[in-house]
Amino acid sequence: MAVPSSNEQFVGISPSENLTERGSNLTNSKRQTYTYEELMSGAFGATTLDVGTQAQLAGVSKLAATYNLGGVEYDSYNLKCVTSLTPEATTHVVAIGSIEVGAGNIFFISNRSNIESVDFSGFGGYTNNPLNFGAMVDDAAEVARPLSGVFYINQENIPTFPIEFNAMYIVAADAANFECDVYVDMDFIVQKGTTVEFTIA
Amino acid sequence: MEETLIKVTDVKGTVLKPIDATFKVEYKYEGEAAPEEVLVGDVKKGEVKGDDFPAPDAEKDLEYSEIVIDVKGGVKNLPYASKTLKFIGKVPPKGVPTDLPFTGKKPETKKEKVDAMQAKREDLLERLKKIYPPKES
Repeated sequence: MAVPSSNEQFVGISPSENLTERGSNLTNSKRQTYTYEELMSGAFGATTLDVGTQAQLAGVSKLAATYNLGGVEYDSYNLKCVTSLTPEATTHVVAIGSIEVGAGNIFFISNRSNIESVDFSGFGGYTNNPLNFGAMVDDAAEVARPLSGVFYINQENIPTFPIEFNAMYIVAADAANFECDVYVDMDFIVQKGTTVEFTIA
Repeated sequence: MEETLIKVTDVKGTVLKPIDATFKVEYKYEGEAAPEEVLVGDVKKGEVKGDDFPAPDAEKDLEYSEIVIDVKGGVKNLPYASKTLKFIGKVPPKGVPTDLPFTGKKPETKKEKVDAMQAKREDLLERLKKIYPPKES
């Protein structure tokens, strides 16, 4: 399939043209029109990730879906981060980056983040679990075991910065040393029309 | 049913959920020297909840009502100023936003943002190490 350049209209209609649909009084100016880029990001979320100072890969992209929660409208976005919590240690904190919105709070409505570890000397292969305490992690013995400490994504404000600056972290800790790979995949909503800027840490 | 009586926000309408602050509501009646405190407490998760603001004394004329938001000091608190909102001749409307002014510094460069995020990361890591001490591999 031919792929239009990133911001062309998907159906190839000039955005300045107002077409009237048969049996409808709506013109294009009254419809929500998506670009090809927006449609694809609606399907996959952030797919181009930058490299940060801790070698983490991360990015944010707008999703096609909009929400109307009791009369308040929201746009939706996707945050992704890929990183390794290595070398093995009892504590790991990775700064993913900041999500700065023009106005309003951000609300994380979905979390599909995954943890992958090796289990070569255990049952074999790799383990994959949702990011949480209890997710399988490994160590130098290459045997996966459930983490019994804490494992979560932290959304935090920075003292002296405006509340609209949301710093994002991966936080994991356990009594024994551990390591694993982390794939963060979360959706959040913000008030409709506000700006969203991501700065990788 | 409990409703949001006061929404502690910045001027953009963002709820200041983590803010450490107290509030009081005062009613000042005509002919009285000082306002009367009718409600007081801590701001919880950026809100003050309750059934309603207390009804004013029906025997007196309400000159004005006031909401006083007192933001506590401390380097870890959000950088917003205390504020008093005045409502002439009426009790405050339910759910009123406070529009607290920002007193901090908006980061202007990527380096400022990254440095601040890394400083916070190191602080969090050190606090975790106290609970989960490092071990030899």
